[in-house]
Amino acid sequence: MTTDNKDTTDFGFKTVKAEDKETMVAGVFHSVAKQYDIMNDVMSFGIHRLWKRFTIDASGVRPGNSILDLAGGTGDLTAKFSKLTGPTGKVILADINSSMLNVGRDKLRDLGIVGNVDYVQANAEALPFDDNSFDIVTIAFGLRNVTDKDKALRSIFRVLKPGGRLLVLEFSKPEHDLLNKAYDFYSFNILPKMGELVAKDGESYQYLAESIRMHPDQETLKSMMEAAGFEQTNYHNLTGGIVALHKGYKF
Amino acid sequence: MPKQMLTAIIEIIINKALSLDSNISEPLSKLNGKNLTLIISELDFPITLNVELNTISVLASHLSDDCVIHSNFASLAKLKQTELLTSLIRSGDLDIVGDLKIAQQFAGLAEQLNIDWEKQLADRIGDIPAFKLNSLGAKLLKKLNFAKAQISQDAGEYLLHEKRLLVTDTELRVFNSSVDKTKLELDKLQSKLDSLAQRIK
Ligand SMILES: C[S@@+](CC[C@H](N)C(=O)[O-])C[C@H]1O[C@@H](n2cnc3c(N)ncnc32)[C@H](O)[C@@H]1O
Repeated sequence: MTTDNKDTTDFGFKTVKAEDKETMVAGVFHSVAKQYDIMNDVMSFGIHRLWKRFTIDASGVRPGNSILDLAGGTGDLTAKFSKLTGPTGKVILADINSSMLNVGRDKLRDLGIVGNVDYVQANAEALPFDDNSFDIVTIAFGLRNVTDKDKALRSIFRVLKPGGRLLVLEFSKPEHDLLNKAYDFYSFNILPKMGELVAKDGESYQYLAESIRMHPDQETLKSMMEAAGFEQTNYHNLTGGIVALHKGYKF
Repeated sequence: MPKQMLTAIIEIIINKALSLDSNISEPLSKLNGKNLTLIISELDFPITLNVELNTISVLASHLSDDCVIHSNFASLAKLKQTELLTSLIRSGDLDIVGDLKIAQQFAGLAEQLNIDWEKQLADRIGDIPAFKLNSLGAKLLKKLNFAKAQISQDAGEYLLHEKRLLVTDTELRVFNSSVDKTKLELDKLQSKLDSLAQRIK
């Protein structure tokens, strides 16, 4: 969400100077990189794997596609896309954070995935790729960490080919009040504790919980995508809206 | 996400069977880069099998039109016997669009693996409510009033997967007791707030 004041932005619930957010987010992900995959499983009861499967199924990937897995972190989506697009296709795993990229690179190498994947350290707000390069761009649990989300969406729009699509998988607003309350309790009381327990890093997980709550809700993100030029935008709530998958096309 | 749950289970079963069959690597490697989509009349979504790096990915969506089979569960079961392919096609229970050779290769693979789908599926699906969800789920979710139905419906792949052992019993116990502690602290806070509110009144 862009704040009214151009010089400040949210960092979880804190308001910080816009130019500082990037460094602070970097701190969080340098700190969680090594434990990231385990924590994902533990925190979501493994459901994140189904959310990601849903994303792949909705992507319309074809053999030969070129795909950008933006804020791709440890490369879960890249691993799947790499197999589906095959040797004639290409997947770029891009992330702003070198620690996350390193963990991702090692993991994919261990899985035997080497041929069609490139690793690029890049900021979503200023993508270092040519116009009209990709059939598919995904950003999973990444957009909420980006300082200027509108700028990132425009940058993604630019690098997509006409006919290409963006998929945004991100925490969103639960549809029902009860779920919302329970989820709040989980995020603010349980999650940081689990972070402390398993990853010995409660603070980073406190940030994660807060950043989830600051992220635009379903309709807001949809209109942000439209403002960036995307068409036929729609979203699908998963697990009662705890997570939503937004999709939009460039024509 | 029941579709993704189903394809996740199928993927785990197939790859497990592949890893147990030492004679499978040759026919399997011939299929690298190939995929097959099944349109099954009983299901309202396609299932795609894609072979790459000697593993099979299973999708609840179309991938390409290399080879598409339209059929039903009963006839698919017969597909394990490759020699029945032609007769199934003749009878109209099976329709193949695209590369017939790919269909034959996949059928050959199925014949060799000879997976007991009914048993395998029953075993895996039976795991979901029985396993971790009870220890991890019931205690935690009930207490939190978490919308349990929603979660248990989705708590899929991880619980089925070998990785489920990632969370050891000790970790669970520690986690559960820290949940209890948090709850206790919250209760204390709540009663403090209540008595404060009383005094203000
Ligand atoms: C929660 S992780 C998600 C990783 C992976 N996509 C997944 O779903 O498992 C968020 C990632 O976003 C990256 N990130 C944060 N800000 C970014 C930016 N401005 N540009 C690119 N990546 C960014 C972080 O470094 C981190 O790896």
